[in-house]
Amino acid sequence: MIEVKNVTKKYGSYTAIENISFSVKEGTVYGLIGYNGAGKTTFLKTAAGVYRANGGQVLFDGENIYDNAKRKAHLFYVPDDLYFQPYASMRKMASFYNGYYPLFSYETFDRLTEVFSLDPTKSINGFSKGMQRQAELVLAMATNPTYLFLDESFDGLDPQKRVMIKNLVVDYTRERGAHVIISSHNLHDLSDMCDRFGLINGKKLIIDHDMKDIGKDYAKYRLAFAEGDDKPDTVFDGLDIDRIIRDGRLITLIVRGDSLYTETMIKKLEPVYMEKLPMSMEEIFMEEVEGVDYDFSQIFK
Amino acid sequence: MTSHKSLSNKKKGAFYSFVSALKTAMLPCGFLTLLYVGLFGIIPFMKLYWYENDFDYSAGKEITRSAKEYYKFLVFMDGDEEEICYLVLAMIAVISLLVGIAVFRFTADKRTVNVYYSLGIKRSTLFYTRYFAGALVLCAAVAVGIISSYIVNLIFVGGSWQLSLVLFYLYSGLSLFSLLIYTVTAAVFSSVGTISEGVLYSAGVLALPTVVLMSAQNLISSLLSNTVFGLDIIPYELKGDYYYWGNTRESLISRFSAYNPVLFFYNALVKYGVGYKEDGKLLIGANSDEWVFPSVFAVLPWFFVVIAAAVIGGTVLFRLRKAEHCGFLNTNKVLSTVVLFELMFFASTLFLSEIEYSDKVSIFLLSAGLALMMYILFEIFLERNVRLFFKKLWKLPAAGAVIAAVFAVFSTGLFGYEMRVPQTDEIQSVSVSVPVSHSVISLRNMGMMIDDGLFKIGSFNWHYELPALSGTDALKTVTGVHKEAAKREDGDYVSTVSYTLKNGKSLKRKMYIGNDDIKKLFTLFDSPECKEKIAEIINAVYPENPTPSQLTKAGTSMFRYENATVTAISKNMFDANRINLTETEFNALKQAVLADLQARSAESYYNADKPQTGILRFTTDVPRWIDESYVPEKKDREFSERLESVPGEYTDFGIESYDAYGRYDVLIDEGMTNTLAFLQSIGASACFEAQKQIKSVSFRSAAIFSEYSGQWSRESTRAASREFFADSMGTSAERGFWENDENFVEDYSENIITDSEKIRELDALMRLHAYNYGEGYWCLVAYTDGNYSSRFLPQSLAPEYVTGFKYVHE
Repeated sequence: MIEVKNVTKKYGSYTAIENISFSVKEGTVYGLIGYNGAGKTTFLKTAAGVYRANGGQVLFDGENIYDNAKRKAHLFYVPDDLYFQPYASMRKMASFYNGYYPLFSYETFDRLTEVFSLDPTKSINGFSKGMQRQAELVLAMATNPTYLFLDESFDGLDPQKRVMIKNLVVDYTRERGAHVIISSHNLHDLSDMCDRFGLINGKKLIIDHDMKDIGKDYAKYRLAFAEGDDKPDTVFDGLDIDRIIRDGRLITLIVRGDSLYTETMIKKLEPVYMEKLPMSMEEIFMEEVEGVDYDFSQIFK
Repeated sequence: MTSHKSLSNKKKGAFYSFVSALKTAMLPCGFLTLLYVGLFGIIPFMKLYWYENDFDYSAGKEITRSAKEYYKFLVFMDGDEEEICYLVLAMIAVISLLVGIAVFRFTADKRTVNVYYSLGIKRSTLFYTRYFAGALVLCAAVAVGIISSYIVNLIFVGGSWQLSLVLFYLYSGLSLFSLLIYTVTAAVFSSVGTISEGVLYSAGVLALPTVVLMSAQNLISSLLSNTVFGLDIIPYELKGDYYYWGNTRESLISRFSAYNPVLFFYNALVKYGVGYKEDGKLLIGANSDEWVFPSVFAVLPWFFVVIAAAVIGGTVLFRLRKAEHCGFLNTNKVLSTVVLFELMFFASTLFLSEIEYSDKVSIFLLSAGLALMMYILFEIFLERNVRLFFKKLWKLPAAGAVIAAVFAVFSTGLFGYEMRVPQTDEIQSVSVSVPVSHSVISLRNMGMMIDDGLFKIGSFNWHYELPALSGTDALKTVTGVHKEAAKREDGDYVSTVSYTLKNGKSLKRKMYIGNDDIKKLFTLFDSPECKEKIAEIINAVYPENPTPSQLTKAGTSMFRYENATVTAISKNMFDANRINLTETEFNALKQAVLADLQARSAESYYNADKPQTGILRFTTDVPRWIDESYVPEKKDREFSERLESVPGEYTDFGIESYDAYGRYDVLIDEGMTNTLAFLQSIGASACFEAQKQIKSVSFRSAAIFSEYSGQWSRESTRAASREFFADSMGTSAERGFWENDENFVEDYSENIITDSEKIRELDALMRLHAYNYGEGYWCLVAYTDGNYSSRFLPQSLAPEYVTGFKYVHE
């Protein structure tokens, strides 16, 4: 299990992430979301032992990962900014990683290059951005990692390869009992494959949920009152309302807190129509992240 | 089982890291290997091969010699090639720096750091595996060169324990030198964010002692008028040698080289480059010093420095370095501050030493201003943030205060210490360097002339260092001049004085002196020590088949009968006669010349108070021309005539003209009665007779060039040495010099004498050599056959029709 305990990372006097805590169980994928610059990459580099945390620690099966050769021999970190040796082919990079990873499998490497139709003898510099991503993921999977960190690794992939890689990662995680942390802007990708996700906002992890409990804290209700019964927003004051959207008689409420209590309270207002809708990961992200509702008409006056 | 497996995994990563770094280091180390093989393999091979297969021009055949009989070992250097050692060390430093960059540049790249720091290898292991890989390749490269030298020595001179010891020593020293540069680079790269900073700071840290010493020397030479550090002169030791064996200039850097990371092995490299067998002894180095065991203390401390730097680099800097610093400038404030102040100190002191100044305060302000400007530019470049830059401005007054304090201490002459002149009763002996122009250097000061006999505009950094003098008169003369000089901060000439005190201490000082002081110092040439030196040179025993080291010690000594030629050259510098002598006559002539030189006073010589008859030239009889064409020598000593006319080329004064061992020219004046009487006694009194007829003599004032000394020259001489002159030679070399030299500003066309009576009078008055002391006249002598030569007319001898001409300086 990966345990992240109160991790803080500062760049000089600037705090990039603060008191991040969560855990990743064996055989699960953890999705990390957050707006640009929220600190996802900083967190992944800290969790991979590239950066040293200013506070807290990241434990891999109970051992601090920083400068821990034994545990890191089973960790593969795929950064957003990929590195390949100058003029290296995939074969040469395989040789490089084989030098450091005890479980590196040329058999897996060969099979995956074939699956992804990559030529392991060609210079990677000549690959497209998407092919380079695939190449890096092939190399990562060939190391048979127990811990796999993927930073925006679906960027630049075509839909087919995206699905293939998602399936590959999920299947591998389940079969090998691996621990995967993946950060992405594409929330759809994460919602498909993650068992749990966390949202970093304002330097902190503000959400850490299982995907199956995604609606536990948030609920979206669509309701309408009888014609002429124009209830003001104040009637919802007893609820922890995040947002009220009116479209004619149709009202959409996004509410935090216990859904049973929310439903009871709404029903007391005697709506003529009420429906509870599931919240997508993207909607939750939008709700949590501030500043998304700019009135751009004010900017372009 | 698990623990066993993880142990092997750890080894696997470390091994791969080591191997990959080995490959990375191979390329730059390849250049180092080539350098070492060239240096320690090819150079000794060629030298030893040539030694055994040289060509004897005097015999016209190959020389067959055995290197075994002469060399004990020849590792690298043979002779006066000390400057090459600097070049070698510089090249090794550059390549070691490159290896360090190649192996550790990954630390300055975000992408590589992401990968390397996430790998299953501890940071210290990563550092040390890569470090040792680079170190191993560097040491192997050095070993290749040393092994090459060993093989070459085995082939030519055979093995010996001294050879093995010296090679091991040089191997240790050069390896350490390489490793030191490499280790510092590795440590610096472990603590900075960019490659450019890594390179700059590595160089800055390694050069720090050198730069500080150079800067201190610049400060000293600029602000302390009487210290010798930083003095750019080359004092020449009096030797009976064609080549002037100069002492190295006084330098803080050379004095403290043992403590300098880039120069600590320089002296050892110079010393143990070669070993000669001589009279059953082993002599080493370019100066043929007696064999001494290599000093462990010259290298051992640096071994610990390397270890310390490696430990600090690997276990502190690399392990604790912040990966997030990659790609960012100015993340290491300590190094950036050190290098900044290093640059400021160097630039400002260099500025201080290079410019002419009128008062110290204004020059201090300019230098300090330059330093502070550098500070501002450097900080702006590093910060690139105006707010942060202004926050740091507090350092400016601090830096200014340090500069002012240093300046204040130096301006007081280190609280007066630098102006100390010892009392005569404190002094055991004194040696003084007398500044002279090119045309009067070395033995010429005592009436024995070598060199090319040209007028030269001397840069006055040529000095003639007298032997240690202990006579009361000499001590009084020197301390008298020194006391006056100590009050000055500037002067026409620079001289050095070295006291050996009776309490065992020594004191060396610089003196700014003028013509009056030079006149006083010239009297030192009359001291018994100098006169004794003349005898030593003339009577030097010349060894049979001298080794280079013997040659160095004995001098080339042209005053020996075998292979020697004595030529009398007339005043016009064109007409010359070889004087054929038996060995007995030759030795008698030597003694006559010696007696005259010892009897001639310095005052008489420099003031040229006696008419000058010509030049008596002693040479080896092996003239070889620039184009290598061989001129057969006159081997036998059978001669039919006492005087034999010599073709003009034989009297050419161009130093390139001869590749003989050497040449001495003795100026003969009418006061040299012993010599003249001897020549008369053997029927050679006409040897100096001139055939050429003078057509005219033109005059220029010598006052504008006090640094000129009167000396002869002739057209062909100047043509042969034209590379010494920037001016156009014109249709006539001598005329071209006169007409085109920018220093001669006056129109001398009106200052001409063509009257035959006056010319006859002038011919007796014009001198081949005199010291002008800032007065007198240059004479361009034109001959009826179209040739020209130059002579000098001292002010005191000049007739009215010469002094009456109009000279521009008047």
